[in-house]
Amino acid sequence: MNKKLLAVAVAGVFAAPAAAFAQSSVTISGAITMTVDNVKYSDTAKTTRSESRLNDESSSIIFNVREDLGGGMSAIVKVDVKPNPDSGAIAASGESFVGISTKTAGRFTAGRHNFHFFKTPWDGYGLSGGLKSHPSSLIDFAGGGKVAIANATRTPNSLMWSSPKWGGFAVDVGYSFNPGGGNTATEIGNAGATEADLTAGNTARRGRAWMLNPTFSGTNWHIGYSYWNGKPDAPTAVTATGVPSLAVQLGSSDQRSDSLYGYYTWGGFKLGLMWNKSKLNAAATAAGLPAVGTQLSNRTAWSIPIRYSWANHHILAHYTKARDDKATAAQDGAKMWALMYAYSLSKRTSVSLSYTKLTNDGNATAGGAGYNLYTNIVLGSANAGTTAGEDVRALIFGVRHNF
Amino acid sequence: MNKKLLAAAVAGVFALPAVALAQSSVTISGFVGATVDNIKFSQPAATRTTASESRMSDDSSRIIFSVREDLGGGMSALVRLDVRPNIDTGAISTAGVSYVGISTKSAGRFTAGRHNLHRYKTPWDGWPMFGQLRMRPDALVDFAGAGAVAIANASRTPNSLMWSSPNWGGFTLDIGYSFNANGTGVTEADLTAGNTARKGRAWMLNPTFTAANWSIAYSYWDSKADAPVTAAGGTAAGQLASSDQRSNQLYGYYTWGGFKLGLLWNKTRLNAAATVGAVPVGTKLSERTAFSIPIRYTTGPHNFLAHYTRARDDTATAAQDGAKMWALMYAYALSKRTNVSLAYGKITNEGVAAFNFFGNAVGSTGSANSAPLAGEDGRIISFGIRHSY
Repeated sequence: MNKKLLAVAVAGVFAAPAAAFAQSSVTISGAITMTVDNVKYSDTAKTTRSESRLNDESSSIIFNVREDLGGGMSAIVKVDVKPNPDSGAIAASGESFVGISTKTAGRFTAGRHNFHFFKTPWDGYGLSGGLKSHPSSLIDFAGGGKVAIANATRTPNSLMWSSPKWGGFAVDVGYSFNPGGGNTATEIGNAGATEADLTAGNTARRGRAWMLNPTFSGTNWHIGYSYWNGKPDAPTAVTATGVPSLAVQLGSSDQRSDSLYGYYTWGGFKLGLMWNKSKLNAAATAAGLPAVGTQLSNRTAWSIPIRYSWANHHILAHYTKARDDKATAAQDGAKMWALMYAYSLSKRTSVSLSYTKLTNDGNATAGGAGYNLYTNIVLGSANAGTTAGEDVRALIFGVRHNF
Repeated sequence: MNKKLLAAAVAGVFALPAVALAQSSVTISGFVGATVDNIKFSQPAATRTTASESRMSDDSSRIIFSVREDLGGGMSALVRLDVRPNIDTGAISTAGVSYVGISTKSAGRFTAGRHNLHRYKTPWDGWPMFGQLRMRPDALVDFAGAGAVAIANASRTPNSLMWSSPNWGGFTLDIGYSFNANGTGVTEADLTAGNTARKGRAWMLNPTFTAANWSIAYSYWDSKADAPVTAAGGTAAGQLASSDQRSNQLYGYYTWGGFKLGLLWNKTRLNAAATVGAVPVGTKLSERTAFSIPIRYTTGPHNFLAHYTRARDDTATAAQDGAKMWALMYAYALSKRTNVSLAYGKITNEGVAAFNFFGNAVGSTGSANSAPLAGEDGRIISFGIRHSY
């Protein structure tokens, strides 16, 4: 997120103490992104197969606070508020934290952080393309597309250490007391979960998650690795509510995920690559369901994003594939491609036109994949979910302003 | 709340009309805090199969927008909007103290909105000064009915008006009124279908005298919930929650050198406002006395705090339902606005009492199932960090 606008800092005029002002600053930044799209489904049983709509694309108003503590140390605060100019909802569901930043020992923060997700080097989102055409649609999901890895959004209950930059090398280490788990009913994970080991009747191991993310950046290239190992609190809820189902068991499963990614730029070109392998193991069971520890999902995914920019024009494309899951008998892989043109009206404002198509393997009868366009429900529309084997395409017009 | 940083209103620089700048200012202030806790229950109930957990919690973080316009003649229009982003769960609300009103030099301040009425009076500096909300003595002081009923919501009171006097040589007076005080998010509900009860309302009276190194104050609270029959829902717990509240507090502090010694005494009664089963309207459901002794010693950037707080056995009930709490806290000030802290707190519930650490409920700043069950004792060890701006 760019932090380009200092919206603060007029102490002298309004009689705030000069000393206080010298030590602390509040910066307001963010981005508002809206898209108009038409989504259409094929290989579907939907009685109405398409709709046009207007979407918020995770707009943000970010409050950054910094106080110089001396000796190269600063107190830092970030609160990322998400107003939805479409539905009128609001949340503080962005990356928010309080912490200490030092010059030599890095940055320590507590709050909710971006762990492991959104790593594909795809520039379409920042150029107004929205989230629906993002490669995360496949990369950040497993279990036939129904389980978000690392919530496919921020991880709550979390601590993070970010190293200083050591000649281009940096590492982030994260820990969560309860990552929430990939709740299949919410499209993205349980990003609002609180700690829940004390849940009545819970006899499972305590939940937690680890994230490790070393990166190396050169002048025109970048390479990173991201490791995720998440166990949600109290997975035995699968046996406590309603009729136990494989879908709920998948949602509460233990997650292990590895991503290797990077990009190379030359002239106006940028070529990226992402490879991901994710595994889900049952963390709880009930009558008729696989035993604890059973591998429920094991799938590999990759993405190749490219971009060419000249003057104010940008052409982008990606091809992304989630391979057939090795832990299941059904055909449940998927492929996705997107083509996008963006025009920068200024350094902070852009408009774009995109086309994207996601094809799910298998079918409803044999049990196929149900990958969906990223945030197609939570920042899309109520019935925009995909059932096994359905394909979906979207034609998207976007506008974005960064401030 | 300190409002030290002017965060907005830079008309000339950012192209707002100069006229608007001359008349009005917007100040952004607040704090953001987080704690890493370990909570553990002793004497756990049979259903508590896991008795402890570690967690990260938001510490009631806030972004406060304060607006003031000079109307001339010593009069100002003022607005306060207290937004609460939870940096753990991602929830957000405007649940803080928020209002619009008029301030005058000679006649005081009149505001309408949601206010702190009667609650949070213990002179304990652990929070908000240093963080660690869950260590507050209000865990016992602001609750009655064996810990089940919050007095004056133990939070902001909605539907409320407030008058704050000028400072008359150290003496000040706050008077508050609410049209329906029963709950922090409720609207007026006298028009509830089938309601035949007296109309709901609440009064708060809070005179204070502050000298150079001491302060003494009294706070009075008398509230009646709107539509109590509906609110009771035919259950004993509902009857208790919708009861009429009467609470008196006397409190103060004395400071010398780096020391501060405080004292609070509270007596609270709950009377049934709706008949449930064989318990008729007017029955005294709870009457308990509580007290707290908070102390603080500050030397340089080091702050040592402790309190002992006790809710005595309820004289309106047969069961043993008192509780005691103590907390020990060390806070290190990295600057005037940033500190880290380490705290230990313990609540011992007698018999059927279930007093909880303050703000420890899920949906507030706690976690799922972290409220004690009857007779369970809780303890928290917590590391905190907090920045005020």
